[in-house]
Formats: sequence, C-alpha cells, structure tokens
Amino acid sequence: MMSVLICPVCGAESQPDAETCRVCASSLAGVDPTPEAHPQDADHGEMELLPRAQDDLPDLLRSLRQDDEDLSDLSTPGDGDLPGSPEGIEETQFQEDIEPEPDVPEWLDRIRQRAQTEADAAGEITQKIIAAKASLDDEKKEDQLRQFESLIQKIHVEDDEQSPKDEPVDEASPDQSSAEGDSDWLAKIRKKHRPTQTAVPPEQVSDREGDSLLQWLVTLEDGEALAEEGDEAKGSSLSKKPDDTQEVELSASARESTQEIILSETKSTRRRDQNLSISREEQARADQLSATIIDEKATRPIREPVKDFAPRWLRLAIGVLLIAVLSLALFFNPPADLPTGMQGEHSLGMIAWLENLPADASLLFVMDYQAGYSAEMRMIAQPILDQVFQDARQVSILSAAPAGSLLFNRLLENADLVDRLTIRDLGYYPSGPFSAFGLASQVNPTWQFRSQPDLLKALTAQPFDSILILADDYEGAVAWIEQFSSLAPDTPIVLLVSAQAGPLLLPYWESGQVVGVVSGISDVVNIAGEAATFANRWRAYQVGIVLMMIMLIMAVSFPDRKQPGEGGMVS
Amino acid sequence: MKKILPILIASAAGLTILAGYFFQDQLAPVLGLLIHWGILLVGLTGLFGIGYLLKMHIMRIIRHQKGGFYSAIVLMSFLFTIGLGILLTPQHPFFRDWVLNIQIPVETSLLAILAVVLLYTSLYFLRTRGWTLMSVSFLVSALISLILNLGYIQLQQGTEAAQWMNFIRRLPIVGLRGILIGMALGGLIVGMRVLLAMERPYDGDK
Repeated sequence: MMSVLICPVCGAESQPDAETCRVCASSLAGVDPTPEAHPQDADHGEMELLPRAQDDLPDLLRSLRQDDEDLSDLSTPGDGDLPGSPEGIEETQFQEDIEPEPDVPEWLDRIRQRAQTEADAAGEITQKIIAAKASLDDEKKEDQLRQFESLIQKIHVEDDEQSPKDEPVDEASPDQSSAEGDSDWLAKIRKKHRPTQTAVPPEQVSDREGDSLLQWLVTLEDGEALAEEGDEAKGSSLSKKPDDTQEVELSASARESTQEIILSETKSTRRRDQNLSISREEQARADQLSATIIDEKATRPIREPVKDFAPRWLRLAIGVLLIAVLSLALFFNPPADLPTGMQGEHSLGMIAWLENLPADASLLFVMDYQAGYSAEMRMIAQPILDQVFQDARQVSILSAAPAGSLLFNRLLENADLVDRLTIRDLGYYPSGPFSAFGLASQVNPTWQFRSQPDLLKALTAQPFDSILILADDYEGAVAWIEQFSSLAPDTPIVLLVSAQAGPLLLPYWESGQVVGVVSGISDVVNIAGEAATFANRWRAYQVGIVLMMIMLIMAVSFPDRKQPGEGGMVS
Repeated sequence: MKKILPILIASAAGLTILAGYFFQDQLAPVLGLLIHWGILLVGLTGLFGIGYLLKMHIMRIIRHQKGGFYSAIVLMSFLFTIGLGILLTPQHPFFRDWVLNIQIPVETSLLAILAVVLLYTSLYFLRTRGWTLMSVSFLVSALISLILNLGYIQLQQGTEAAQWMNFIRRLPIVGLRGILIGMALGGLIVGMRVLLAMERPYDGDK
C-alpha cells in the first residue's frame, strides 16, 4: 500500500518525499507517512460499523439474525428463494437501517484516522465527538436491555396465562403461511424453532406483521419511543385491542428456546410523536385565536341609539344667541361703572413705584409679547404709560420678540406720545436668557465686557433707573427677572403682563424680586378706575364671563349619557 | 474624538459660566465673549431657518408640487416685506402698519380659537364626568375665579371678609410656587446632566 504525507495544516495529501504541502506550501517536516486511503477503504470502514451495531443487539435478536442467515445459506435457488425474495430485501433494509453513517466522505475518514492517532486540535474535537457517541451508544444499550428484560418478563407472564388455552398447533408449511400473508423468512424461523407448532391463526397475523417486526427492530436499535411502547404494551391487553392496534405475534411454546412476543404498536402513539413539538409562539397564537373566537361568539346586549340632548337647530340657535349677546355687550357703551379701590397688593406696588419715579429717570422697556396679544397689552400698558410719560423721561426699548419694536411704536402712537419722546432702540435679541444676562452684566460694574456693541457701551455709563417688562407668557418674563435680580438687584423691575402670565409671576412679587405687577384687564381697571377708556370692552368681558359661568353650570347639570371616549358634541 | 469634542466644549462653557458667578473679577471678560458668541449663534440659526424655508418653497415651485401656489405667495410676501423694510426702515409708519395689520389679526384669531377650544374642553369634561369629586372641584374653582375677576365684589380693606377674599385670591399662588420649585429643580437637574455629559442635546440622537 502506498503511503502519503498528510499536511497538518490543510489535510491535503502529498508525496512521501515532499518537503512542503502541494496545496498550502506548509512544511511537512516531522510528518509521518500514513497509508493512502482508497474509496474501497471507506466502504470497508462503513461495513465495519455493522458488527459494532450488531454487538448492540440483544442476544435474542442476534440469534434470530444468525438463524436467518443459516437458513439462507441452506436454501437453494430451486427451493423458490429468489435473490430478490422478500427476506433478502428485508435483510438488506435491516442492514441499511442499522448503519449509523451510510456515506462517509473521504476527507472525513482521514480526519477520523488522524483523530485516533494524533492529538492536535482537530483530532481532539473529533475524539470528543466519538467519545460522546460511544457514551450515547452505551446508554442506548442499557436502555434496550432494560426494555427487553421487561418485555420478556411480561411475555413469560402472558404465556403462563395463555398456555392452558392454547390449542395444539398443526405444523404448517412455509408455502401455506405465505398463502395466508405471512412472510417466508418468518415462517422459516417458526419452522426451525417450533417444528411442532401449527401456523398462526390468520386472524391474529396481519399482512404487514413482517414489516412491523422489522420496523420495531430498527426502532429498538435506534432507541426511539421504547418507553412509550412499553407503556402502551402494558395498557393494551390481549383480550381487548383498539381498532388501530397492529399486533405481531411470534408463537412459541414456553418450553422452547424462542418464546412468543406480542408487540402492540398504536397509531395514536405515532401521532402523538408528531404533535409534540409546539413552540411557545404557536401556543400563544392558538390561545389568541381561541380567545378571539370565544369573544366573537359571546353574546352582547344590543345598544340602543342615544338621542342627543338637543337637536342641531337648538344648539345652533343657542350659539347664535351667545355671539349676539357678546357682540351687543361689546358695542353697547354704558355709563362708566368701573370698580375702584379694588387694587391688589401687587397693583398697589405698581402705584407706589409710579409715585416715586424720578422725573428724569432712565427707563428700559423689554418688549416680549407676540402681536396677537397687542390689544390686551395695549389696554394694560396704556394707563401706566400715560403716567410714565407725563415727564420727559429717557426711554430705551429692547425687543425679545421679532415685532417688539413695531409693537412699542404702536403703543406710543395710541397714546399720542410718538412726537414727544426720544426713544433709543437697542434692537432685537433673539434669545431671552442670553440677552438678559448680557444686558444685566453691563449694568453690573463688575461685569464690564471688553468687546461689546456701541449701544451697550453707552448703557454702561448710564444704568437704568427701572425696567418695565411687557410679556405675554411666563418663560420670557422669568428670564429677565432672574438675570436682573441677581446681577442688578438695585434696579427696580415692574411687570406689565397678560392675564395668563400674571398668576405664575406673582410669586416673584411676593419674594421681592419685582416691585409691582399689573396682570390682565381687571388689574388695570382697578388701577385706572373711572379714568379707564375701555369701558365697553370691560363690559363685554364681564358678559363673557357670566355666559361662561352659565355654560359651565349647564354642562354639569345635564351630563352626557355617552361614555368618555365615544366622542360627540356638547349641546 | 468626534463625540468627545462637543462634550468637552459644552462642559467647559457651562462650567466657565457657572464659575463666573463666583469669580466675577477673573472671568468677566471670558463670560462676555461667550455671551456674545451665544447671541451671535442664536441669530445665525434664525438666518439658517429662513434660508431653509426659502429653499423649500422654491423647490416646491420648481418641481410643480402640490401647494406651489401658496409657496409663491409666501415668497412674494417675504421678498416684498424685506425689501420694504430695507427701503423704508422699520420705523416708517407704512412698514409698521403693513406688518402689524396682517400679523395681529392672524395671531388674535388663533388665540380666539384657543379660547373656544379650552371652553369646549371644560364643558366636555363636566358633561362626561357628571357629579364627581373631580368635576365639582373643578367647577367650584372655576366659578370662584371667574366671579372674583368680574370685579363686582368690593370689600372694605381691613375687614375680616376682605382678609378671607385675599386668602382665596392667594390660594392659586400656593400651587404656583410648587410648580415653580419643580421647574427650578428640573432645570437644575437638566443643567447638571448637560455639564456631566449625561444629556447631550447637541448630539442629535441622544
């Protein structure tokens, strides 16, 4: 036999005198030559597996197989046993079934050979696999032996029970058995081991009993479903068998070497084996589907259509009436009947600040409200501006809103102050906190920045006497309050804010960071009193509030019968 | 490095500003520089936003997409307004009226719709809940607030009734103080998270 060198790196074969591998060019120094493997060797290796598998068979099966082989040797073609006879086919099938690995490639065979001789990495893994297989085979053997022992014990018991009832069995020829559907090789086995026994009653032997025996043997060797079959065999007695039970009976008297084996294989067992693998996701889907079907089939009460509390035309009429009343109140100009003496403490602080304001005071107006609030802010700021601009005070404006400068000009225009005042516009600062910090730092003498715009340089030499913040929301005003109250705490801050921002800013007045707050129309009315020029708007405001109160009371008095989330309009 | 550099810049700027409150003499020039940079960058973002809007509307017109007519109106209005402001200056009465007479009605209408929506929501809440503790509490609070805003109740200052009224008027301030304290604590925590790079608003996806 020719020997070759096997590369330790790639496993390729090279000539015995080669120094490097012909495939990967790795050095072959120190590699021992090994006999060259041929495909016949691989086949031979496969065939070598058969005896190993046969060793796993119990003694009874080996004796059966040996007897069958003896009979085959004795038989001649003239006896009717053709090469393609059923027993020959079944024997071949049997051998194929017990082959653990029918087709082993050449490279795998080499790796296995190396694994048995060398202890490198690949060999170690393969050896582990082989060892694991061996341990599994040992376990299978033990299981098979245990199963066989239990079966044989049961057969003994059943044989003892049935032996008095057994009728003398006539000796039947193999041809007769074949005529009744028996397999020939099985008949030969019976003939040899039970020469005095007659053929098995036809009603107890089905057409497939030979096949079933083979299947059972294969299953037994594979170690599959033996425990279940054992349980089923215990449960199924000889007297009562279900319709789907297939029985295989090897009759023999208790005195002979072979004994009767009754095997029961139920179709339900096989079905259960097929349905065992159900994943959790599949189970969840099945449960969900079942729940959906149950929910769809559940009976539910029929909902009666709910009538609206008021028809559409009535709701429309109420809406038109409300708008008409508000409009009339807006355009109806009653005699001035504005409340006086109702100022809150925060408004009183504003009045005190106005009274103490120097005639030549320098004021900074921070415009931080949107154009949509201009009407409200104009009503709020106008009485204050009238008093502020009675004297020629220096006014600077800084816009925290894009249209701040335009809005301030409109305020002055309404108060006829445009021509009387000289206003210094500091421009638009896009970010409130940035601009507040930057400007407040100019007021603080410690925070004199070196690089700053010219306008701010002028401001540093002339700090403001007061700062008026006109804001429509909380956040814009807070940035200015916090920065100025920390960096320029001596500069008074006054707030002229909308009704929505006022309540949130009152805590700053209570803490002393702000000297006065005027919030919303009601505060202005309380300050201005009879001098207020927007009496009709105040009247409309009051009417609107009263209507809103009526609607709230009606809403809670006539609750909607619909459940929340069903939608629907409020009548 | 791509991730570390923004973190270092943000943390250094924040800590410098914070330290400036304690070391004013030493850090005042640096703080002024940072503040001006910040204002400049905020202004530039406004310009970038305007440029992006212009590009979007121009592309919509070029590609004949849906809404191209409105994009054309927007572009014409923008160009006209900016041209007018450059020519007449913002202090000109015509320019002021041109801007405010359009902007004020639009924004006021939106606020009016907001007021109606709030009223409708209140009514819907009361109608669906009926007479429950929550709905009755809401109704009583709203009615008291509205009645006090009517201005018809006039009480002599110094009397016991006036003190009760002042107490009721001050009740909302109690809740507002709680809200302000919560907001301050939230701002403090967010600031600390930014300084410690646990929060990275400049990172885009963090």
